[in-house]
Formats: sequence, C-alpha cells, structure tokens
Amino acid sequence: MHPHSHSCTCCFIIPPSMLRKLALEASGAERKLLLDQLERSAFIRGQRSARGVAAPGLAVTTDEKHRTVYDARHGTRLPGKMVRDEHGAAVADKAANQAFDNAGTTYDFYEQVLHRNSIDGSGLRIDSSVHYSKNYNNAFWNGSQMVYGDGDGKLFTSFTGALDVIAHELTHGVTQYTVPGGGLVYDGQSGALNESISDVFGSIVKQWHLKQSPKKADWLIGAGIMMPSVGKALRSMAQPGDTAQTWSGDDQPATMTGYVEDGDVHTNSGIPNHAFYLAAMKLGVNSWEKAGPIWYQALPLLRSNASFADAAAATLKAATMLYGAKSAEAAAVQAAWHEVGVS
Amino acid sequence: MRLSLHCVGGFTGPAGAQTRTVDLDRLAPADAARLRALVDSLGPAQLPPSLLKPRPQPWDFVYTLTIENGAPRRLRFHTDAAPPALRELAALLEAYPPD
Repeated sequence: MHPHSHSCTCCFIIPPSMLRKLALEASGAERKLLLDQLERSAFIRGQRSARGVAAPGLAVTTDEKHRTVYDARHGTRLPGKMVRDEHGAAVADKAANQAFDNAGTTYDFYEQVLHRNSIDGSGLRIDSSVHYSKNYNNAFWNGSQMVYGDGDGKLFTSFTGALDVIAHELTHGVTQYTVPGGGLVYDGQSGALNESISDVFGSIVKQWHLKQSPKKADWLIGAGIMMPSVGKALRSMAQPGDTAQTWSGDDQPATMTGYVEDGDVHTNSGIPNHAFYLAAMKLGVNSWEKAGPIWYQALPLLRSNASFADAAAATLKAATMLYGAKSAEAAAVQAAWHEVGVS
Repeated sequence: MRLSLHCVGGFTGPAGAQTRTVDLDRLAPADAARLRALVDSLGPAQLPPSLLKPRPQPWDFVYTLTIENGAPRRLRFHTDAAPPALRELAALLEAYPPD
C-alpha cells in the first residue's frame, strides 16, 4: 500500500511534538514510519487551516498519476479546452505535450523518490493550462492547477519545455498541502522560502531526470526560457546574482550580507537556494538521495510564517531525525546554513 | 487620463513583470467611458494606497495601478483584497497588450 494512501488514526491522536520526539528516538523503518505520520499529520492540520474542513482528499485516493492538459487559447479563463488527459495520445500542440510529459516526470519523482502520491499526497489530479493570455511572460500555480504562458518572444520563450519550471510550479502545490497552516505566506522571508523550496525541488527533479550529481548539475533555474539575447537562465542556486550565469537583472543575494529588506520573494530566495546547494555539495551524493529528502521532511516542521532561521532549524531537525544528531549529514546542513549567514 | 497597470509575481517575478498603459483619449469613446466610470466609482483619493492581503499565497500577483489625471495616484493591491470596481478595472486593462 502506498505510504500516503492509508488513513492512520494515530495521526489524529498523537500530537506533532510527540511524533517528532518518537521519530528522534527511533531508528530505521520505525523512524521512516513516524516521519511519514508526522508529514500526514501536518498535511491534515494544513488542510483544516486552509479550508476549514478535514482534507477531502483522504477519502479519495488513487495510486496512479492523472494528468489533464487544457488550452487556454490565449485567454485568461481557466482551465480552457481539454486537449489531453492521462490515457490520451500525444497531440499536435508541442506545449501541451511538454506540460503533460514534464508534469509526469515530476509526479514520478515525488512518487518514486519521496513516496508522495501527487501534489496533495493523496492522488490529486494534476491539471495544467497552456497558452495562457497573450505574450504572457510567466507561469504560476493558482492554488489548484498550473498555468503557463507562451512568453512574448522578446524576453521569454515558452515555459513548458523546462522541466524545472514545471516541477517548481507543482511544488508550490506540495508546499501548500504540506506546511501546516495552508503553506508558506508569500511575503517576506516565508515567501522567499516558498519560492526557494520550489526552486530546490525544481532543480532536484531536473537532476534526477538527467541523473546528474551535484557537481555535474548546472544548478540553474529556468535555463532556456529566456531569449538568448536576454540571458541564459532566471536564477542560479550555485551563484545567486551572478549575471554572467543568468541575466542582467539578477539581483539575488547568496548570503545574508546581501539580504534585501522588504525585497521581492524572488530576490531573497537566493539565500536559502544557496544553502541547499551548499548542503548538497557537502553531502556529496546525488541531491535526491540525501539533501532533497532532508528538505522534504523539514516541510511539515515549518510554520506558515517561517523565517530563514526556522528553515535552518527545521532542516537540521529533519537531518537529525533521518541520520542522527551527530551525523555527518546533520553537520553538513548546519554548515551550509552557517555559510549563508543563517543560524 | 492615462492608466497604467503593473503586475509582478509567478515564476518569473520581477523579471517577467509586465505593464499595460492605456491613454483614454486614444480609445474608442465607449471603451474610454467604461474605464473612466470605473475610476470615478473607485474614488481613488479615498482608497488607501495599499490593498494587500495579510497572508498572500503564490498565486497572489501584486498589481500597481497608476492613474494620471492631474497629480498621479498610485494604488498597490492584490485582486482578492481589492474592491469590485478595482478588480474589474484591472481585468479590463489586462486585456490590452503589454507595453
């Protein structure tokens, strides 16, 4: 049975603090089970807070991915006309096929690596709309589906061809369903964390798909979505703010020294992005083997208004739960945050 | 009267921010009258300069509407926190091509 497809009464009875304590004291399979329960518990609390009711997804679970792609036909009414669903063949529209395929790769990553069944952990259908608006330079998660513009052909090209863009957007949904309280508030440090978590898993999914080690990976976010005359990528997790790697307007700081008070969430996200990069490099193995699971297990330990310091504490706690308090993994996570000036 | 709507958010953030500027004097009379009526119904001088949600989510784009009709008036808002007339005005302006 899929670890997220059964309902577990103990999730309702044992408080999260006790689940955390039990997980810290347990080892092996038992620790894994307790961590899964902790995540499920956080999911339910998050849903109650966000929706005011118990999570409806718990009663409706599927063990298969279910993708649907719509064509917004350059309008803004969503979702648009359905053009492809899970069992349909490829269509003539390249963007629709890219949205379908890359959503599938992202689903597979979450299912195979993190044992999570879709965005909500309970088999939520993955809906995407392509060709949103005219000359639209963006992609976004609207709370229930992903939406992609085609770019204006001057600054941006299509967004659907970049796997990390699609994994980034889908991860906003994961954050919404996993961080207690309905996700991370999209403002200030919690907003920058929200952006960073999407960049982190966007990059990990790309590395997993390409079978790249941290040293081989480019650590770029949105490579190929900008016109070549404008830039190579939107952001760099390895070198935030390095315009030679990205584009001329890249203002991301890599450490707290460059933190921008009241800065945009896409600006200050450079700091937690770089912390993840440093942790992955220190850990040495593929990012989806250790650093990714640590960051993922930290999500239910956060609060909706979490600061960077809260994220550092949560990832350290997750590393401790997964590998032990005196482990090299916990030390690597702590050192990574220390290097970016967060402790 | 000139109206300018700046929008930022989503995956691209400031990099993909788009502005739409509409000069009412250059519009068809009916379109101009509709926009002008919405601006008048807003009472922009009475609105606070910021109408942002206390707990925004990733889908909450930040809009800045600049009304140039004499002294410029600037309103910053999330659509969910805006009065209906401002939401309608933003939706109408978004139908125009970006600058």
